[in-house]
Amino acid sequence: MHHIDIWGTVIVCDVREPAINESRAREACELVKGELERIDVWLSPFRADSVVTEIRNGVTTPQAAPAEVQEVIAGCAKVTALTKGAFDPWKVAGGFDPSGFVKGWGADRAARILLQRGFPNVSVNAAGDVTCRGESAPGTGGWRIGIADPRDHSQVLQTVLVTDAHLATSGRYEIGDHLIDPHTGGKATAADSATVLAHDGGFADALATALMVQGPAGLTALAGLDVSALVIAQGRLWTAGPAFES
Amino acid sequence: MSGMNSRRIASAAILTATAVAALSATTASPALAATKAKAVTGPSISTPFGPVQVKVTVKAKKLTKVSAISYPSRDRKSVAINARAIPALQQQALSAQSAVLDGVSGASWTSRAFTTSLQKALIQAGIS
Repeated sequence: MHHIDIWGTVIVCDVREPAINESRAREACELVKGELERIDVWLSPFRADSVVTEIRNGVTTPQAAPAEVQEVIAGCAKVTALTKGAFDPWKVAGGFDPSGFVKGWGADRAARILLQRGFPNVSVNAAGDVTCRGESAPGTGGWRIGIADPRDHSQVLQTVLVTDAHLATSGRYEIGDHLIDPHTGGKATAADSATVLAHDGGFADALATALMVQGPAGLTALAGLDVSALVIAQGRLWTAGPAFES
Repeated sequence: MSGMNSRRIASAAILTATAVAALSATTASPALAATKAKAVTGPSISTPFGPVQVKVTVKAKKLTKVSAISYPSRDRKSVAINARAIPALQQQALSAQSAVLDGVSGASWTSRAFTTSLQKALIQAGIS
C-alpha cells in the first residue's frame, strides 16, 4: 500500500500480487507519482502554471493544449451532453474546471502504469474514487469496495465487488454543501450521495457529480449504458444497473 | 422511472447488521483457546487532518481489541468528529471480526485511513 500526497489529497496505490516484489512496486508507484504530478500541471485550476489555468486566462487555447488535456475536455463534453448540463465544467466561476472528471481519469492512468509495470492486481483510490484492476487476492474475483453511508460515514451502506472498473462516490462527506448546480448557480441539494460504477474512471467521476445535481431523476438517462449507479436522496436509496442492491 | 428501485435505507442497515452478527458468531476452536494474545500496530496513515494509526490485539486468530493510537485531533471539529467516529469504527471492526473490505468509496478520511491501518495490522497478525 503506497500513499502519494498530491492534489491536496492522498492517493492510495494498493498493489497485490501472490509474491510481491516490494522494491519493484515502490519503483512503479514512483512512476505513478510522476504521472500524477504531470496531471496536476496539465489540469489543476489551483496552479498558476497549469495548462487549465492558461486556458482560463486566455493565454492558450484548448486546441493548442497537450493531447491529454484535449482527451479530458472531450470526456467532460460527453458527460455534459449526457447529463444535459448537470455536469458542466465550463459553467464554473473562474472558467473551465475539469476537477470533477480528473480524479477518476487520473486514477485510471495511475492503474495503467502499474499494469504496464507488471502488476495486474491493483487498486488506486483517489480520495474515495477507486479504480480496480484484477483482484485483491487469488480467487476473490475483484476488490470488495464499501460505499460509505452519507449520513454516518463510519458505516458501510453496501459492498460491491469491483474489477476492471471504477467506483466513484460524490457526496457531502467532506465537500460539505459546496457543490453547485450549474443550471441555477445555487447549491446542489437533490441528493445526499451518488455512486457510479463504470469502466471509465473520468466518466464515472463526472457522472457521480452530475447525479448529486440531478438526484434520482438522473438515473433514467443511464438506461442502455454499461453503467450502474446508486443515489441516496430524502432517506431513500435509488439504483440503476445491475451492480447495486436496491 | 424505469429500471429504478427505491426503498427505505433502514432495511439496508438491518441487512448489514445481520451479516455482521453471522460473522461474529464464529468462535475460536477450543484447541486454540490457550493461545497468547498478540498486539500488532498498523502503519500510520496520513490524512489532510492528521495521522491515523490502529493497534489490534489478536488471540487465537480472533480480534479481541481495536484501538486508535493516533487520530486527527488538531482542531476542535476533528476532535468532535472523531469522538463519534473512532468508537463506531472500533465496534464495527470487532463485530465484523476482520476488515472485509479492500477499500472504501466516498468515506471520510478518518474512516478510510482507519480501515487501511487496521487491514495492515490484521495482515501482520495473520488473520486477514
